[in-house]
Amino acid sequence: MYEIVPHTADVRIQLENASLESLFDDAAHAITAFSRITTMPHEVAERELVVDSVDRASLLVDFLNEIMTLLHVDRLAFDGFRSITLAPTSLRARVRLRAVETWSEDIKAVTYHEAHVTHDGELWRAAMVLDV
Amino acid sequence: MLTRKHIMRISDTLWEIPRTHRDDMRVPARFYASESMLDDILGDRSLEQLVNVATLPGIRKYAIAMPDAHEGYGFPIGGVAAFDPDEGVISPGGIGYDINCGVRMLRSELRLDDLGDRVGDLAHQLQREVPSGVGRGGSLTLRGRDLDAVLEEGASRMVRMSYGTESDLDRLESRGSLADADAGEVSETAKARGRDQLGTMGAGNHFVEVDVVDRVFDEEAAALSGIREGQVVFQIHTGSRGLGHQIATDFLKVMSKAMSRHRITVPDPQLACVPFRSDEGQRYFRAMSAGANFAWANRQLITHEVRRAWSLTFGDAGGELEIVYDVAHNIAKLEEHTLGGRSVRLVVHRKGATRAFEGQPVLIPGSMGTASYLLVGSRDAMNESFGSTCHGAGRRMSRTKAKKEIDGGELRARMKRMGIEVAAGSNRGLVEEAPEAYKDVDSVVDVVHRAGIARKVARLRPVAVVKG
Repeated sequence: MYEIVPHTADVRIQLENASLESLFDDAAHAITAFSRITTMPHEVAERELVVDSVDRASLLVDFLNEIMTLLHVDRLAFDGFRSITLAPTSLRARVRLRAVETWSEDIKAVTYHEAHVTHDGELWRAAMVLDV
Repeated sequence: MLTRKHIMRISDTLWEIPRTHRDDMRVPARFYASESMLDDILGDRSLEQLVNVATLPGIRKYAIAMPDAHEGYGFPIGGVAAFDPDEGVISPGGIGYDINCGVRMLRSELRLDDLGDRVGDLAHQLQREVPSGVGRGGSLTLRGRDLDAVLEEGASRMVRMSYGTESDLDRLESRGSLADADAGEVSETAKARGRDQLGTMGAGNHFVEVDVVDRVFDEEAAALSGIREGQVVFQIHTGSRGLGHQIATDFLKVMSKAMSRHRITVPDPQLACVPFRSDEGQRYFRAMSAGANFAWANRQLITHEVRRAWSLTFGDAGGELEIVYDVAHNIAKLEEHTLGGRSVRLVVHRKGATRAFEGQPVLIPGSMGTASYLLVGSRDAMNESFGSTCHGAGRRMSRTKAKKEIDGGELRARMKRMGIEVAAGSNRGLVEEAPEAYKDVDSVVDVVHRAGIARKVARLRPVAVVKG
C-alpha cells in the first residue's frame, strides 16, 4: 500500500506492507502511477535488474532510480516482478514492463532525502522524497 | 527544530547561527533575510540543513543561505558553501540534480508598444519553436562523439554548429563552458537521457518569458547591459535536463559507497561527499562540468529557437536579439577568493544561488506572473558571500496544495487581466507554478540589495510566458 504526501517543493511517498518484496513492488508502482503514464497495452518486455547499495533504504532508492531509467531511456513502464531476490543491501529481479506512449509527470530522481525502510515487528514501512 | 533564540542578528539583513550551536559545526552558519522573513525561514528545515552543511570537512568561513532559501536535499536550496580543494569535499547535494539550471536574458531593439497586438502571436510562435513538456525531445539528436563534443565544449560547440555567434559567448558566465569537463565521466545512461534534449525547456518551473523593462534603478549599470525602460527582453530558464539529473543520481550513489573508505560521516545521506582531490571527487567534478556545459549548450540552442520565433513573428522590423547575460544557479566552480588577506582557491558550491562577481550582471527570475530583476554583483558579495547572491523566489506551497486550491482556468484569466499571454502545455502544470506558490521575489531582491551583495539595476514585468 502506498500514499503520496505533499512536500513543499517535491513529493513524498509513504509505504507499508507485510512483505518487503511487496513493499518494493508497491514503491515501483507508486512512482509509475505518479508519472501518469499511457502505455501501449500489447507491447511488453522483461528486464533483469541487479542493484547493490550501502543499506536497505539506499537499495530501495537505487532500485527506483533504475525503474525511472527504464522509463526515461527505454520508454518502458514497470508492470510488476517476474521474480525478486532481496538481501539487506542487494537486489536481483526480473521485472515485467510495458511500452510507454507518453507520460506527463516528470520525476527527476528518487532522492535519499528522508529515505527509510524499517520493520516494526508486523509491517515494513518506507518513505522517500521524489525530486519533481 | 531551530527557533529565534538560536539566531544572532549581525545586521538588518544578515543573521548567524554560531559555531557553538552544535559540536560538529566547523564554521558558523549565516543567512540573509529581513526580520519579517524569519518565521518563514524557520518554518521548514532549511536552517537545520545549513547547520549540517557547516559540519562538512574543509568548509571555509561560513555556510551561507540566501533570502529565498528553502528545504532541499542535504543542502538547502539557496545555499552557498566554499571548500578548501586540498582538505575539503565536493558534494552533489551542494549543486543539485539540475546541474547548471540557470537563466539567460536576451534584449531586443524594440519597445513593448512596437509589438502592437502581436504579443499573443509571439507567445504561440515561441511555444512552437521551443519544445517543452515532460518527456519531449528536441529537433537535434546527438550521439557518440557529437554529444561528447557538446559535453566538453558547451555553448561554443553550438556556436560552431551555427546556433549563434562568437560574440554570444562573451556574455555568458564562464563563456558557457567549463574546461574541466570530461565526457568520459558521464554515464551512458545520462547520455541516453540527454541525447535528444538539447534545445528543450522541460517542464515544472522552467520557462521562456517575454518581459518589458518596467523600471530602471541604476541608469549607468543598465546602459552597460544595453537595457532601457520600456524595452522588450526575454528570459530563458532551464538547465541540463535528464542528463544532469542522471549525473547527480549516478554520483550520489558512488559517493555514498565511497564515504566510509574516506572516513567521512554525514548527518544526512543526501550530503554524501568525498574529498575534492579523491578519484571519486575529481570524476564527479569532471562529470558535473560536462553537465554544466550541456546546460549552456541547451540554452544556446533555445536562444537560436527564440531568435527564430522573433524573426518569424516580426521579420526584419524586429531587429536582433542580443544576449544580456547567462548565469548558472546550480554549480560548483574553482574560484579565487580572499580569505584572511590572502588569495586562495576554493571549490564554491552554489545550489539555488547565483554568482555575483563585482560588475557582473545577475539575473533573478520571479515566479510566473511576478516581476523579475536584473542586478549587478558587488565588492561586498566578494567579501561576504563568496561572490554570491540569491537565485529567485523559492517555493512556499506544495504542488499538491497548489493543484487543490488553484483553478487553471481562473489562473489563465487572471494572467490575461494582468496583461500576460500564457502558452502552457497543461493547466495542471500551470497551477503548480502559480505566483502564490512562491515567496515574494520583491522582498528577496530587496534583502540582497540592502545587504549589498547585489544591486538592483532594473525590474522586468512579464507580458508572455511559455511553459511546458
